[in-house]
Amino acid sequence: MKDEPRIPDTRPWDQRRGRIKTALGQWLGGRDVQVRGRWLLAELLQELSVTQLSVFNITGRLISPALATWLEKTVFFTSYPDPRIWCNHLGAMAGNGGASPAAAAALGTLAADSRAYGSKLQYLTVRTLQDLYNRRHGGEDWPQALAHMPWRNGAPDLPGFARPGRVPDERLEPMRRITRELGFAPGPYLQFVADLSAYLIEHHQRDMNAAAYACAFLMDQGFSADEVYRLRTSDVLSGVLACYSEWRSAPEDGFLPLRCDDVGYTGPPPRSLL
Amino acid sequence: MSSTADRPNPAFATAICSEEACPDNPYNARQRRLHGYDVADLWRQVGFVDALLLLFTGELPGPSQKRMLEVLMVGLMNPGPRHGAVRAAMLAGVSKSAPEHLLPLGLLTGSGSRGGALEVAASHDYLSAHLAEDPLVRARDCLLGDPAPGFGTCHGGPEPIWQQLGADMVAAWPDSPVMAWCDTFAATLMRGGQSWRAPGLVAAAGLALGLGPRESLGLYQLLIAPGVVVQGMEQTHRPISSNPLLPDAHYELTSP
Repeated sequence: MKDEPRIPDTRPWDQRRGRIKTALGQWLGGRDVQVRGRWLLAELLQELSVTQLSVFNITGRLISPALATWLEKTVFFTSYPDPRIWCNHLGAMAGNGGASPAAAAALGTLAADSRAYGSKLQYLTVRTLQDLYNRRHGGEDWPQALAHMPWRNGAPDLPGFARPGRVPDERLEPMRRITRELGFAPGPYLQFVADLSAYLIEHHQRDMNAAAYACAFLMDQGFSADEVYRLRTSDVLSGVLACYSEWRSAPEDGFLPLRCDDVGYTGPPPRSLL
Repeated sequence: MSSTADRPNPAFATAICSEEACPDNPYNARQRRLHGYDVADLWRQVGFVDALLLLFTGELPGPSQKRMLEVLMVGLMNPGPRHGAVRAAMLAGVSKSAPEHLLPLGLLTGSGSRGGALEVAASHDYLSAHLAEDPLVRARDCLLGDPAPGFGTCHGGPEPIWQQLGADMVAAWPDSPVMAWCDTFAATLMRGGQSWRAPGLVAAAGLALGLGPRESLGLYQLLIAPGVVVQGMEQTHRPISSNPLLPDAHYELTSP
């Protein structure tokens, strides 16, 4: 370690200053748009659905129409227009408060970036399933592998294995049916999550939810945790905007109004400034 | 009108704020208390920074705590047009985005783990984990390995303004063990070309004040907010052509 003044090497920033170098795409004004080596208007417009284009933009992968349909159909399971659900609740509040639909879309998406549900939960679920999968294939049995996971109330606390009110997940069976009908056979991760679920039901009364199933399916399709996070970020949008739309026309403070005594107080008693 | 008294109304519980309803309207408050103090007494008798620290910590601050936060608040109130949060708000402002979105989108742009709010939380975790160690030894380890979150370099070297702000925060609250530890830590890092980064300053302040990592993260967002707002709003008054697209000559598309 020296005490002499150092001259910082700023070349990494000098090279990027005033310049963008990218392999992603380019708008060529008056002509067309390059997207990952393809022409957007001359080629992709005819070939791809919105979902296929979205996956291509985000990941660079050209997915099959069946996989695009699977991704579209699973949005049915993440966008219930029920304003009790947290992200929709915020959408209703934004509407009732007179915010713009873009604000509602943004805040609903942000709310669903949650370790309890939504896109972040799916990211965490993929990472957890991958970790457990590697441990099992590395020779650990279920108790050994699960010992590395967080536990709560005497059971492994795994993302993708919780449900509000511990009610059965109504989405699982329709999701399995759609997967079959679209011609997808269970891959190694779907088989793995089924085995994990069977173990957790037998020993801890915990079944998988739709997020675990969907994440395992997407892992079978070759998507990483980061890609799943990015692909699923806007899944709640239509439910949020449905609630926004309904409550936009309600009277001011008309969505679940709170009386002063509806908020519980647990802090210090009244005190005075000296 | 039917009674609503029997309707369950799921709501929050809080230890921060209590409200006393008007006798004739249970939806309106006639008095609000923050950690037990009447907010009207606060606005009449204490300053903004005192009330802010009460809000965050639950108690009114001592003079050193208050002075340290004032130093930090002024130091961070505008992190400058090159800061990601401010730059985002400026770009959105000049492109005529709805003005009410400039602050939220700026704060979101500055929410990340590289110089943003998430680095504050990471730095808080780091400092909490190592505060019992010798800061000299810890700093030498950092110089040999990975930089500590909240410390290191900016564009290849220490940014002097953050060093000065850190030194002035320490001077404002010299008997804070956290600030003293960080001062030694940063000074040792400086011998290897590293120093404070802005998130580290807020993490240290938050830890010294007894805040948790999440509260410190939020404090950072709050402190940079004035600069995000004013720099973003300034741009809304300029023509969109004042910030043109990068010309094609400076845009290089490579093979995928």
